[in-house]
Amino acid sequence: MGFSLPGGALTRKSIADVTRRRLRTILVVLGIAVGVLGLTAINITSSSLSESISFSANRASAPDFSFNVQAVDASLAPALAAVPNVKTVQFDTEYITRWHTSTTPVSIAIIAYADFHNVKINTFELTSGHLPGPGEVVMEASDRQLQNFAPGDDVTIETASGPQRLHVVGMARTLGQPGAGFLSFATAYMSADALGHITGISNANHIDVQLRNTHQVNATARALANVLRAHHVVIFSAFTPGSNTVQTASDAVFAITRVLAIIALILTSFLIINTVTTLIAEQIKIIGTMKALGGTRQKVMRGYLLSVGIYGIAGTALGIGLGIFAGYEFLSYLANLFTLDLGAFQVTLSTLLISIAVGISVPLLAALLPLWLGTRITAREAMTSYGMSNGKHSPSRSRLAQRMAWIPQTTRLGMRSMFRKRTRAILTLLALTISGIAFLSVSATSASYTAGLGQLTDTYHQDALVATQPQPYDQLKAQILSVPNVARVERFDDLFVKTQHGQIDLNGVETDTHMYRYRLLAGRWFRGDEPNVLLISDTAAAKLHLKVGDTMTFSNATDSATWTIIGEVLDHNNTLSGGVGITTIDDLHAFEKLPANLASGFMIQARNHSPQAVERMANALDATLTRSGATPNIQTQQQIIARNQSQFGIVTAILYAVSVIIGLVGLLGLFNTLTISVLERRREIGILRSMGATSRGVARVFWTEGISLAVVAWIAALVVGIPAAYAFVNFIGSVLLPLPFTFAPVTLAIMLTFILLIATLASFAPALSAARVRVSDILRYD
Amino acid sequence: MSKMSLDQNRYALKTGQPLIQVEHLSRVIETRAQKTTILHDITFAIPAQSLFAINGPSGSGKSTVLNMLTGIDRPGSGRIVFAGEELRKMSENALARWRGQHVGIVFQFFQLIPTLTALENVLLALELGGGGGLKRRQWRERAMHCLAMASVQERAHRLPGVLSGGEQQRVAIARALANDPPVIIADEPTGNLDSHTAQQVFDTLEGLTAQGKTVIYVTHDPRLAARASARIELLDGQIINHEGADADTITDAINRVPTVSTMEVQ
Repeated sequence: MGFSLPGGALTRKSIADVTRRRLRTILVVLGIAVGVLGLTAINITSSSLSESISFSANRASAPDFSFNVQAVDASLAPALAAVPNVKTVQFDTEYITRWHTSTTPVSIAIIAYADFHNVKINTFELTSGHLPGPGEVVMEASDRQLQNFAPGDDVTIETASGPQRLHVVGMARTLGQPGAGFLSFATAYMSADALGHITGISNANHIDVQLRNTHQVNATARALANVLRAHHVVIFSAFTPGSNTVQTASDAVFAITRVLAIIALILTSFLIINTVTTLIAEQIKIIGTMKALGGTRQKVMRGYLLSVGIYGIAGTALGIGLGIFAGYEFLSYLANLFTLDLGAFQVTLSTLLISIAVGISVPLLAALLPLWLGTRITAREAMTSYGMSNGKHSPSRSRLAQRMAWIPQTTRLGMRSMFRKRTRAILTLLALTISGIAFLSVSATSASYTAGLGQLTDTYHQDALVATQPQPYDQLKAQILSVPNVARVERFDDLFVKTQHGQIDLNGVETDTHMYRYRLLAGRWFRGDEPNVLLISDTAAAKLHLKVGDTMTFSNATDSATWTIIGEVLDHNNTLSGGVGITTIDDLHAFEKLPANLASGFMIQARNHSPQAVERMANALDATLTRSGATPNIQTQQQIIARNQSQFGIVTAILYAVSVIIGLVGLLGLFNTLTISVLERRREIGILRSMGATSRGVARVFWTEGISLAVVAWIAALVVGIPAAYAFVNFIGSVLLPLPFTFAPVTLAIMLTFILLIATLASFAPALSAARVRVSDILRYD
Repeated sequence: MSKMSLDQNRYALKTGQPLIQVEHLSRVIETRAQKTTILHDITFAIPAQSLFAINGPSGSGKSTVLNMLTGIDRPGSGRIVFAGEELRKMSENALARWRGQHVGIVFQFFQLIPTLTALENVLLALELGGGGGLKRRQWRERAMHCLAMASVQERAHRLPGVLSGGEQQRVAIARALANDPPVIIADEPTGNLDSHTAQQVFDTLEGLTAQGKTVIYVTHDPRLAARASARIELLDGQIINHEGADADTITDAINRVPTVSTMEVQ
């Protein structure tokens, strides 16, 4: 007696349908696996990243708020600690300068502590070496993304007294801090004494505070500010950490990628529909036989649904396995990028359940319609079915064929074969078209970001941006103007403030600015004689639900104010953080209680705008301002653009990766279609072979079919792709960054190449298989 | 041990009516271009436990009649009454269920499921046809018995692809017997076999009448048709000749037919 499977002969047949057609099973299982992989990886990364961010923030002991001050003596610490609700007060010195790398200098923040063993806020881990002494520095590990170096090497920084060489004695890791490559900004740690020795800065200029009750942050910050001012400490800025930008950005990116993963699953469902339609077409006589033997439609459907269920289970299992691996790798990459501790990597039950539910239910749901339609056939129709129809004779088609006589018959055969199975062809075209649209959407997003960046640089029309410690404006302006190639200097500063509906970046500009080129959307610009007014950007207006004429109440850690909105401007700055408000630099300084004669930020315009000339100007500015003790942080417009592009490049890379997954499903769909086409048309191949067709000729028939489908898909993507890309860019705008929709026509050519590449890859194996078919095999097969 | 009844045959024998009555059956296929008459107003009756032949050349409409008898096809007009039950009133699913229980079909090209073994093909018929009143655990035994009845039990675990044409047709006969239907309908059962194998397969079918089955078969071979106990001969959709297929003749003959109302499973 043979081995008997539970569930009966119908179950056995369903299993045999899956196991006997191995190639088709592999393709379908792969298709499902790719969709489930994307969803699983994204869900795992998304949930684990959120946990890592909060885990890392807890371990790094983030401050509840901070002050930047001119100088504060360590003896003031007990007085600050005595303020009610204060848990911990920590002083440090932050020195921002330039690090001379082998290419161009990069900005570096040196954080100096009087006692490393007493660091309780913004803690860092020493991953190698030892704590720094005189002339020594500990570098953040991710600084190596900017310039390769090793402990034992020397790094050179700019100081007021000229370049200083520091000996690297260790490497550090600061949890929760985005990597240097991401920020284009290095971080290092020194002892306060050693920093004072090379810079002359003897007092701390930064205060971090942790509270017992974080709900009373503003009251406590005001009390602390009063203590500082009572001791004649000049406060440059007071700020509370805003919403976690990494978390906000990653949430948005995962929302977008989740949408794309769902598109991949929809494509997978096309693959299933195609496969089931083909399965039914192949087994039409078997269905007829089963009905003749007494099988009802429901029983027949149940058998095929079991086959699809097997595909689903296998694909889901594979997809989950690969998804966990991909999710872990992706998470590790992000953890490295943003300096996060992963904690214990775990896959939540809900993530698994979602993947299982989607991986199994999507194929089953996709299979329902073709099964319902396919099993509708009566026993008689099924028994007398001859499979593929010959098609209808069309006089117009004949005339067209006469005109196209120059096309080889094998090529024409391939083109005409395209729509012999219409449902299958349409689903394959849909899959390819969606792959093309996904590519187009991601390209449009990338182009729109570049355009948005272009608009940003048009609005902020400076060649370099300089930030310093607050110093007398007249003095700094004279020094800046003395630098060769500097044509114009304007004060510029910004401050993140909180409003009822979220934070915005409040920018202060000169009333008669030449470098902030505003484009008014509503209202008007400053008259110069009115205090406490501002303009807001279009992004801020939409987010805060405010319009011209409304008042806006905002606050920083110590102060709050209510100002009137007099205009709305088009401004793409800081859209991720909620947009910008524009006020006069004097009003901004007044809000910050910064003495009126001081200034700390500047927009610089050069006479010669070439990147080389601007870079030389930046170096000269750096040298000049550093010598004056202003500790400048200079960013050229090119550096700002490059940093932005690099940061958004990560988003684009993720989007392209998902669009490649979608393309892969499209590729599998076409591969499946062509493979089935080869199997179905073995007799036709045999006839071609018997008539003397070469392997190349036979292969060309199927390659042409694939390419023809690709070209039709490209045309369809042209029609619907641009509106779809517009919708996608708007979707990105609603969850991540509002972008001006830009579409580069060259993308269409790239998309054609992309689709043709998919089609060629998908056609290769089926065409090769067709080319290898021998007439004798076909005779035996039939 | 279990018993399977042959209710329909008993019905015919008790009521004195033919098992199947075909009345004024017509079938016309219409397309835009033309109208083709496949069957034209044919009437005949099939006695219970007979070996009934439907004979005629290609295109005479014999397969269409057969398909209508099985409920696979529906008549354009006229009616088929099967043991007092009219087939036209049934839905497609109801017909499928009815077929599973009452008719075993043997096709010219065997129509075995290529991915299932001979035994599994028979088991599939039991599964689809409701198991002929047997419990699921008895199906395997029943399937082996049917294969034995068709003299192909030693091929039970082979796939159809490795069986000869004759063996495949025997498996198809075993499959047709699975649910112990009162009627076996065979469409050119020997049409795809060599003459020696055809003879053996036909002998098997013929032997089923001795077990109480009504065997209806289509053939274009006059010699095979001549072996039937009753028959009709078709030409261009019309009956040109019939023997023992007239309702009155059948009623008279019923009392002479030996009754085998039950079949035992070994």
